[in-house]
Amino acid sequence: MLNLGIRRMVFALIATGIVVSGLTCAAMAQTPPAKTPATKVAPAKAAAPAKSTAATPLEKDAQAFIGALIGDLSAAVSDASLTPTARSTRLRATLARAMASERIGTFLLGENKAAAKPAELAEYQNLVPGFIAAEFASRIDDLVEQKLTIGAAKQRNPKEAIVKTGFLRRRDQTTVAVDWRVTKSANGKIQLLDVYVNGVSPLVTQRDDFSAIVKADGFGALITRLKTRSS
Amino acid sequence: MHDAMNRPGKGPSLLDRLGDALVIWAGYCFARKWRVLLTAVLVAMLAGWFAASRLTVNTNPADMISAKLPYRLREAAFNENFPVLRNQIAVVVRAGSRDETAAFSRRLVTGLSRPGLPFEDVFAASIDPWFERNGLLYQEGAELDATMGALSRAAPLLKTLAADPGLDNYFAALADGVSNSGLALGDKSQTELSRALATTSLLVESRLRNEAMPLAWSNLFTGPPEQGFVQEVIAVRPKLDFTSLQPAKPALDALANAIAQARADPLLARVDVQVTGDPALRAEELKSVATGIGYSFAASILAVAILLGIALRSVRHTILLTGTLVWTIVVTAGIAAIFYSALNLVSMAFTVLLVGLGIDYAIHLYLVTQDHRRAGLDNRSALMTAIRELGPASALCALTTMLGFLVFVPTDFVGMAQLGVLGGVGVLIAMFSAFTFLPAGFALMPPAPAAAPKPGQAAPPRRTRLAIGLVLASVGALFALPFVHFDADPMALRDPQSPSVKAFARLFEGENQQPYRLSLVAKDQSEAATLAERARALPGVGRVITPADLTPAAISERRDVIDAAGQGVLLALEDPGPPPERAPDGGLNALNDALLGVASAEANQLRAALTRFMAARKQDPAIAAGLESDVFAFFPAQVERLKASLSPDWEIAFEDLPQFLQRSFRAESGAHRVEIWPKADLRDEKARSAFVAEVTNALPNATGPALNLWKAGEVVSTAMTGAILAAFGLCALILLLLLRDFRFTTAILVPVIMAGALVCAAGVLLDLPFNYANVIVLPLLIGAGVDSGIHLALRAKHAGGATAALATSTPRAVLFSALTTIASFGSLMFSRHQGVSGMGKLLVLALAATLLTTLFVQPLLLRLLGFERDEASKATGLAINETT
Repeated sequence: MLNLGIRRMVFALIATGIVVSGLTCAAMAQTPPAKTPATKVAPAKAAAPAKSTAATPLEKDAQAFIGALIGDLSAAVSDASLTPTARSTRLRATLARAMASERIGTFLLGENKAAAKPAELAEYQNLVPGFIAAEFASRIDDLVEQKLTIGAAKQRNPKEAIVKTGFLRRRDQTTVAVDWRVTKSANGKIQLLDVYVNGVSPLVTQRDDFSAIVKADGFGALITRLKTRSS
Repeated sequence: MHDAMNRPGKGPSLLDRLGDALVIWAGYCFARKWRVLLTAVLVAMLAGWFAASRLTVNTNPADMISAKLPYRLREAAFNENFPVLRNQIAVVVRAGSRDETAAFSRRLVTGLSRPGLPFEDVFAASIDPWFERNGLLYQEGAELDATMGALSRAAPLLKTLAADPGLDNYFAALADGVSNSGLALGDKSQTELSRALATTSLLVESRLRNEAMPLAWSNLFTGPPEQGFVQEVIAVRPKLDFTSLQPAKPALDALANAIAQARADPLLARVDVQVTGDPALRAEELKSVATGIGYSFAASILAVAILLGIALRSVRHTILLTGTLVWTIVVTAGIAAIFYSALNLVSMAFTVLLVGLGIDYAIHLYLVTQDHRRAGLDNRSALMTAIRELGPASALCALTTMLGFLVFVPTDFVGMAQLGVLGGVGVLIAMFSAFTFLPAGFALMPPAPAAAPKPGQAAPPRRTRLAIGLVLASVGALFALPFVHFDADPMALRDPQSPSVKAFARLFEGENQQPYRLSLVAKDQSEAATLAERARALPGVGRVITPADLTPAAISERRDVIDAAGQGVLLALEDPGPPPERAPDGGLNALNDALLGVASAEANQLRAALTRFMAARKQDPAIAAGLESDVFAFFPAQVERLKASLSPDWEIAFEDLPQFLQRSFRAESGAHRVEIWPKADLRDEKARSAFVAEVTNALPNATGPALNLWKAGEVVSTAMTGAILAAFGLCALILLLLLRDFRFTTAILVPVIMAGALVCAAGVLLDLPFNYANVIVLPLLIGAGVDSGIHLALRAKHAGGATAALATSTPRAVLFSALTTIASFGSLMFSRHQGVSGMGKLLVLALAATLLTTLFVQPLLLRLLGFERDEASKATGLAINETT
């Protein structure tokens, strides 16, 4: 007499329940970088990276890539000759060169692509690299000034690796874990995919925000948001 | 010898011959009393032993409808293909949070999976390892994005608590969140923080009251469930023991034991668990009906005995008549055991029905015999005279009553047909026992003292007015007939307070758990897709599921977003780092400091709660340990489930799904099931009929509980209509053939028609619809209602008119017969089973209406149709021309 509607029950019970059971408030533990005065400071000295035994080529490449990227970002931050606007522009440019913008842009769009007209989609693809760079830049700006530890890289799959780094937060001397997710493209180039700050993925949270904006106000509102943030 | 049906110049009629036969038989019983009584006792013992050892009860309501009907054949084929869907027990688990339901489900499933327990399958989708791992892949679009976004934002707190799952660390994490709340973190984070503060306040305050209130992590930042509760269903398929009267009892007992053990955990004290499903519903229904019938049977026997005692004013005579009744029931039960291996929930009532109907023959024979004994005849002469007068009438009554039962036999309502056979046979046996034991009994009695004959009674004016009133009421009752309806839902018959019925109602409150669905069987996925498309096009259809729909779509895209969020969370959980160094109560103090700077109701509430907490802790340090236990009670399990859910499978095929689910949607033969859900709530009969009609018009081969209810209702209501018409038609035909007097037949049938109208109107006014259990009321009213009319009418014919008949013992016999029947049927009203209780109420109404119309309207009719004039003619020497 009874049988179970499994699929939607799974959707209702599993997906919301199991995962949501682990949710917490981002505001409780998200650690934004402490604001520091614009004084000339020496670039953050990176501690020697931990040596991993038998590191794979991708892990080595990833570690080298992130080391170089952090170096470039630190140089931009510590260049006292730059105005705040110029510093921000240089940070964004550095990140834009390092990121897999197209793939990130596609990820951020998700299923909202269906809600976009062709012209809107084209505009989105133009705006999103600048937006992503601006988002990453705002999170990384203060961190790269702190004492940095570059940890080991760990390969996740044939094309991706995670490089673990740690920043010592000046405000309370607590460690902020920043994990860099990188990917190796078809032409062998290493690119940045995501930056986890204490486990938080700005791309995932942005994708959620994008979905909410498109659902509430349409794709046009998303374009407006991108323009505002990128400028 | 043919007094009752005097037809000058014509041979004896069939009734006359029956009367003669009864006289001969009664004479034999009178002469061979001890032999007869001894033989009867032996027969009763044999029948009783046979019944006790063989009879069982089939509680499946579906089996009360003929298995040869097309929809039953489709149902059987479906069950053959998908046996896993049959006889499922549903354990309905409800609590305020998913943490509690999941924890309870896990404990229960573990308990039920122990070896040696009588279960074929146990399946809880919410905690199944496969769904724990891949459940996120079933989320779509914006919902998955929102879940992953919230999860990602939760990573820092998870990292903090994973490093040190302690109370002070929890406070420290809250403090961090409050300190950072001034930043632009978006509405979602703010809402989540407010909720966290409010929830923490509740926890602290509960602990201060010494009440355990575990933190529901699932509710913490997404809010409490919309309905106020979370409900999950665990499907349990029991091993059935068909050698037992209650095949599911071992499984139900084992399940109850496992539930009790799972609830022993104090953390799960607030989880509400109920059990339903076919096995549980039937087990409780059987208990309800059997207990009710048992009490009704005892009560009816007692009531009949008391009424007999009042009427007969003799203990010996009461014992004699009650003895004939008991013998009738025992022998009928023995015959039931010969022809049927199992009764059903409707035919079980034959015992109570026979108590009411079976005593009538003995009452009539006894009272008429007593009349003659008091008139001065010896026992044998009085008896034979009474039999000559009553024999044909009794035979005719037995025939009409039997017809009232047997009219269901040719119908597809085989459950009622069984009651019909048992009732019909029982009535014959009742007549036989009356004409066997009363002669034997009277043979043992001393002669009765002579008594002065009772003076004749003229019809009082009130009797005529009452008769007219009944006629008018019957005419008015006709206006209620269009509102008579049939309730086809078997749930309406069951005790609404029984646990399984209440649990069944809960299924309609849970999301995507309503049990009234339809299914189609397709030979392959291609056909399933075609059928599904046709079903989805129907306006009343909510959703349609085929085997292909059970695997998530767009796995690659969804895995990307799960992976993106999951990496951060897994990194946080797998390498949380060392616990932060902090002074004792550092976290608590930091939280208090942080809350000072926040102007919100939640912050104020928490600050006040923490102040009370700190004061209470000084008195009782155990409060802190208790609060920590509350906060982290479900944390380890949730972390493990979280880790599992963040590593879904890369590829998923139907064959990867849990076996239980596969077998629910794809048969071993390769047949595919298409499941069709309604949009409406099908507890409403009209919605159910509309849904089934819509689907079956487009897809005629649909099957399922909703269709079974609809079709069964059609079958039973058609059977009822046919049975009523057949009972009336056959009774009318028999009366015409045997009495050969149209006016006589009219005088007998009209009161029955009036009583029928009155009963239908009463059913409408009292909200007593016809249902599976009480469809027999109207046919029985016709069959049994005719009896009283036959007795009174034939007595009028014999005594020379209605007025003269009213002065005989016949009205008293009719009254006592009706009262014993009402008392017997009335005992059914107190059953907790709604079907049995409703049957009792309608039967009482039917008998009461019949009694009134027979005693008051029939005499008026007889006078109007000329029988009083014939009496006047007889007085002047003219013979009565109305003969049989």
